[in-house]
Amino acid sequence: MTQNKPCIERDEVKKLAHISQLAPTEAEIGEAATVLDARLSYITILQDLVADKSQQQPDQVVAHNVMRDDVVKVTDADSILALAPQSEAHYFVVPVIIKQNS
Amino acid sequence: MNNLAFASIKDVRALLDQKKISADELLDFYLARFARYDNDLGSALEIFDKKSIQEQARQGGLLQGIPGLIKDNICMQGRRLGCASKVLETYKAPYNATAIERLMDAGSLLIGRANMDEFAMGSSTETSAYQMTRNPWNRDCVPGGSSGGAIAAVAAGLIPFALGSETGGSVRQPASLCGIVGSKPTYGLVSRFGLVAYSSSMDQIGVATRTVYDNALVLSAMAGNDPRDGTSVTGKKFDFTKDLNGKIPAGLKIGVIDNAVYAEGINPDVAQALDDAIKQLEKLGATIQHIKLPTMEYSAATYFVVSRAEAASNLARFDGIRYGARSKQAQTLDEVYAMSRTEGFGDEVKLRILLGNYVLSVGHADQYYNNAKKVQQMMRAEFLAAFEGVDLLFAPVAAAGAFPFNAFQDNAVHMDLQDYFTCAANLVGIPAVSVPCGFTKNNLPIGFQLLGPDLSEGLIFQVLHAYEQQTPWHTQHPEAFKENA
Repeated sequence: MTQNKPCIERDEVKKLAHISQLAPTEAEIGEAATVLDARLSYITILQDLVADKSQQQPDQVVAHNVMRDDVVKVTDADSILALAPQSEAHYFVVPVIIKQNS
Repeated sequence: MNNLAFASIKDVRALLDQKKISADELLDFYLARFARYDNDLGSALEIFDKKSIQEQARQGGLLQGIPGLIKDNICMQGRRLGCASKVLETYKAPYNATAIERLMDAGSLLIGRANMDEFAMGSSTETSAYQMTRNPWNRDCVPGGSSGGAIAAVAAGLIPFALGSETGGSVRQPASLCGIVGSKPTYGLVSRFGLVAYSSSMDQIGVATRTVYDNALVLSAMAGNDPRDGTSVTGKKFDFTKDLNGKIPAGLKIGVIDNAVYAEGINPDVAQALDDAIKQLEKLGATIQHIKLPTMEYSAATYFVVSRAEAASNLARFDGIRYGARSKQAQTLDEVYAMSRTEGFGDEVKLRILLGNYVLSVGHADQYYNNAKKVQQMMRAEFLAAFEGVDLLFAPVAAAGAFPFNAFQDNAVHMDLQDYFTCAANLVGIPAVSVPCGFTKNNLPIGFQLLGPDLSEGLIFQVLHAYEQQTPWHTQHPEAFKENA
C-alpha cells in the first residue's frame, strides 16, 4: 500500500509561520505539520462536493454596503495610548526601523 | 436558598418587585456563591468588587438589578478584556460593547469576566491561557466551549444569565453539555460592536440562561439595529417573550434533520433523548416531517476553512505595537511582531492562524477557501429551501455528553468535530436555540436545538418554551452546587 503524500510539508509550515509573523522552533514546526496535515486531510471532502455540484451553483449572495454619516468625533488619545506597550509624547514607540534596514 | 441560586430571572424579578429581597442582597448572594464555589469550578476569570459594580448600575427596566457574567471577549469599559489570552494580558477595554450598553441600560449588574477558550478557539475551554473550567455535573469533565465559563456559572447557579459568543456553536454546545438554554441569534440581530472578532462572517453574541423565558428576555434587551455594526438588522425593538404562552402555533411543522439525528456516532442515550423530545413536540401539536439536508454533512469542514481564514486575518492586529503584550526580547520591528505573537498566543490559536493563512494562500485558496465559500452558499440555499416546507428544523447539539479533560489531546480533528451539528446555523446565518432534553446513563446533560429562518427567534422561543413547560429538565441542577451539598 502506498502512503498518501501529506497535504502540507515542513517547509510550507516554515513559510506560513513567516507570513503569519510567528517564530516557532524546529520541533514546533514538525508538530504543526503533523496536526495541520490531519486537519487539511479532513477538509478535502469539500472538493468532491463542489465538483459534484458544479453544474448547480446557487446565485451569489448580494451584499449591500452599509454606510453611516461621516461625523467627526473627538477621540480620547490618552486612553488609547495608555494601552500601548510603549508610548512617548502622544506617539506609539516602535524599534528603530531605518537602522534595522541599513 | 437553593430556590434563589437556581431561580429564573423571572422569579428573581418578582422577588425584587415584591421587595422580598433587595438588589443589594441579591448581588451579595451571587458574589457569595462565586466566593464559595468558583475556586473549584473555575468559571470566572475575574469577579469585580461590589463597589465598582454598584457604581456602574443604571436605572433601567427589563433586567433591573439582575446580575450577569460576561465572556472575556466582550468589551466592558475600564475592565480587563483578555479573550483568555496572554497576548491581551494588560488590555483594558476603552469602551462598552453595544450589547453591554444595552444590558446596562436595562438595569443589569455585570459582575465579572467569564473564562473561555483562547480567542473563542476551542470546544472545551481547555485552550484558555489561565485556567480550566469544570463541568458542574461532573467535575472531571469539560463544560464544552468556547463559552465554557459563562455556561458553567449559569448551570451551577452562580449567576442567572451570562453572555457568550457563537462562531460555530460556542454557546449551544456548552449549554447542551451543562444542561441549560443557549441561543445563537440571527446574524446581525445583536450588534458585534465591542465583541473581539474571531470569524467576522459568523460571530454573534449569544445568551446562556436556565430557562427559555429568561433567554428570550435577555436577548430582547440586546437585540436591534446598531449603526456601528454594518451587518446589523434594521429592526430597533424586539420582544421575544410576548408569545411564550406554553402553546405552539396551530399547524406548526418541524423538520427533523434525519442525517443529523440518526447520524453515525450518536451516543445511544442521546439518540433516545432526541427521540423522546421529538415525541414531546409532536404531543404538543407539531407535525413532524423527516427531511435530509445533505450539505449539513459538509458543514464542519466548511466551517473549519472559513473560520480559520477569517481568524488569520482578524488576529493579525495583535502585533505588540498598539496594545497587548510586547516581547521583552525583541530588538527589531520584525522581532516585535513575531516574538510578541509567538509568546502571546497559545498553541491552538497559532495552529488556526497557520491554517487560515494556508487556505488563503496562492495555490491553495481555490482548493480550500473558495470551495468552502461555494459550499456555504449551497448550504444557505438548501436550508432556505427546507424552510419553504417546514417552519423549524430539529437537530442534535452534540453526539454525546460532556467528555473528560484531555480526551482529544491526541486527536485534534475529533475535537474540531464538536462543532459538527452546530456550525451549520452559523454558516447559514440563521438563529438556533438549544435546550436540555435529558441525561446520559452517567448523569450528563443532553440537549437538542431548533433552527429557524432569519429572525424567527420569537417562534423558536415559543416552541421551546412550550416544550420546557411539559418536561422536567430545566428544574434539575447539579448536586454539588446546591446550598446543602
